[in-house]
Amino acid sequence: MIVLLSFLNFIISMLILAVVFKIYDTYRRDYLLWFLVGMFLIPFIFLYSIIEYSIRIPRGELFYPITVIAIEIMMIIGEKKLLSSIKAEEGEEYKILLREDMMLLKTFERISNYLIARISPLIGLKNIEESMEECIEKYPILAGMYITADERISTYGIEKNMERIGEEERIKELSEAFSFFIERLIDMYAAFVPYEKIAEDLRKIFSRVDPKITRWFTPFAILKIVIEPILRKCKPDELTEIRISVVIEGIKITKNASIELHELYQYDMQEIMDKIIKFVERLHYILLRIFREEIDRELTKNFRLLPNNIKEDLYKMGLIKYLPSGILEEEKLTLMSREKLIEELAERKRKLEEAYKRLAEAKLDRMKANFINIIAHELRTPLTVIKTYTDLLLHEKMGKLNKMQKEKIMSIAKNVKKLEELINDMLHIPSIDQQELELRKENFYIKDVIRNIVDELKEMAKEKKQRISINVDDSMVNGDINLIERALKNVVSNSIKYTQEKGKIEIEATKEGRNVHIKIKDNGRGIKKEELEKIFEPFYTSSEGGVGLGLAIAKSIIEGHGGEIWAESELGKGTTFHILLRRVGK
Amino acid sequence: MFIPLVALFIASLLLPAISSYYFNLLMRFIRVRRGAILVAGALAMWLAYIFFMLPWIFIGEDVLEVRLLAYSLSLIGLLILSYGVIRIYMDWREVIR
Repeated sequence: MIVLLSFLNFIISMLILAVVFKIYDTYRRDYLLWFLVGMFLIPFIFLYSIIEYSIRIPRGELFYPITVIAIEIMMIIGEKKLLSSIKAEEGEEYKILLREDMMLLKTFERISNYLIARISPLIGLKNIEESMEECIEKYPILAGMYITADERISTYGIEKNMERIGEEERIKELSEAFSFFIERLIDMYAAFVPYEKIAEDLRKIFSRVDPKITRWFTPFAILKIVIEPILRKCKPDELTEIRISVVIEGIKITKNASIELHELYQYDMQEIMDKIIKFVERLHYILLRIFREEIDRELTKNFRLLPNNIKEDLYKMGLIKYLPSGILEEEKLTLMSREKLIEELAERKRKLEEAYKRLAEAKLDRMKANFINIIAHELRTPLTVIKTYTDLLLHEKMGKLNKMQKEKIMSIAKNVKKLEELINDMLHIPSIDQQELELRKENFYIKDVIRNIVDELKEMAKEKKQRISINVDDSMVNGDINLIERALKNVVSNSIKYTQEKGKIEIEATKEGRNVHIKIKDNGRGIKKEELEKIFEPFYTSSEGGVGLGLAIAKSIIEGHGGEIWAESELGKGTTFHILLRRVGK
Repeated sequence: MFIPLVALFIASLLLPAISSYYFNLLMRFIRVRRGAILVAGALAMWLAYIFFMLPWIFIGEDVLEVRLLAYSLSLIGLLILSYGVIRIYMDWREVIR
């Protein structure tokens, strides 16, 4: 039983050691090393115990207390090191570990010292001390605070008192008391310097506030940096009107146009923000009458000057929508939390990349079309010459040919014809000229066109022993009959080409609303899903022999006639091409 | 052996007092909210250690039942401590992020 318990203790102490090691490994601090060494010794106690009971070694009378003392010494050294590191406000520990109320106290201390350093040469330290005593009298939490010989306040006494009060209440009370004190300091300062200078100083001070406690300074920043500079520009009668009209519990406007907000800290943060929003809304209504449109510009200007940490806090609280409308989209971006900002930037980058890609593709398409046009036209001229002379030779206008020569010239003529068809195809890829098409449009029965195509391609299908069946109604279509025939021929010949021997091609045309729906169905090898989107692109082909223009031309012609063309396919079972063309008549 | 044993035992009982003094000072400044858990764990360990040592000091012999009690107490203490350090690690990790 003892061995078992020792073993369990050993395992758990190893677990603790592992966690402490992980903490040390993450933060690499001196004091953690001492804790780690201390923890390292604990498993040895239980290990010794297991061995002691298992193989009967001498009892560890001295081993145990000595190890315990060593562990305790390590812990004490670690604690002392951590304490001195925090007191010296060294490195990250100060921010990472410091309690919120302590951090708040230190920040208030820093703000007060900043202001005292500027005020004392103007009014003397005695006046500041008197004001501080008044504050202590009103707020006992400040008891113990005093001004040192080097004209800085010491809050050591407050630290001691703070232990006795509950955490959230203590922070509220502390904020209220210090706000009151800082308001006094600002009022003293404002008697000697323009308020713009004070607002600038406050901006500087607040920009250094740690994000963890920024929220306690946000109300102060909005009212003192954004609103108060405007109030101080009001005439006495305007100020009186504002003081009478804008009454919000917790916010007071004094006769000197200064805003007192310390009482706000008695409320919860959400209530504070609600009150500020209400205050700003009511004030804005009156200020709009006094300053007209100028007020929005002024509010926006002051808001823009707020330090980023305060703005970020406002964004987090969802208050941005209540603020002046003049704030630009980009300004809002800077207020987003880091994660949101990264998301937003990633999204923008993605959009930008897409746009670049589209632009490059569009450019490439244009270049391709131009290139094809130029090549096709340049090829046509010499081809015409070749064709003319081939015809003359073939018809023996340039002298008699022997059998072999005739055969070779026929082969040339055949290939020239192929080349000519290819060039014609290439020239058809660019979109159909609508004006030209209008002139050539006529009404015709689709069944006539389909029959012509089948007659033409009969031989091709026969070679592969394929069967073509037609089921076409008497729908009439308006368009260029030659072009439509060409488009359908391309599709049907494509089906014949990619269907195996003894395959079946079905052509159907039925009325469907105001359209005629033509289906060309084969039982060929089918097309992969990812290829289906590409088959209508120029020069896309899945066979080595083809050029890949047939379906692209068909699409260009059908869409030029206001129709639609698409394909459905199942691998191994076949493909169906669907063509919709606008119908004429009932 | 008795005198050094007692001297070491007393020293090992006094040192935690110094440690807890610094611990209290630390808790006034830092936001390791698991402070109470660490104290509870350490206290259980401390008690276990006392029970573990008592039979040797007073009767010079092992008392099996007391040793069992000491190990059980230290097991509880270690469990509490492990919970505390894990929570501290998780808290810190959040703050660092």
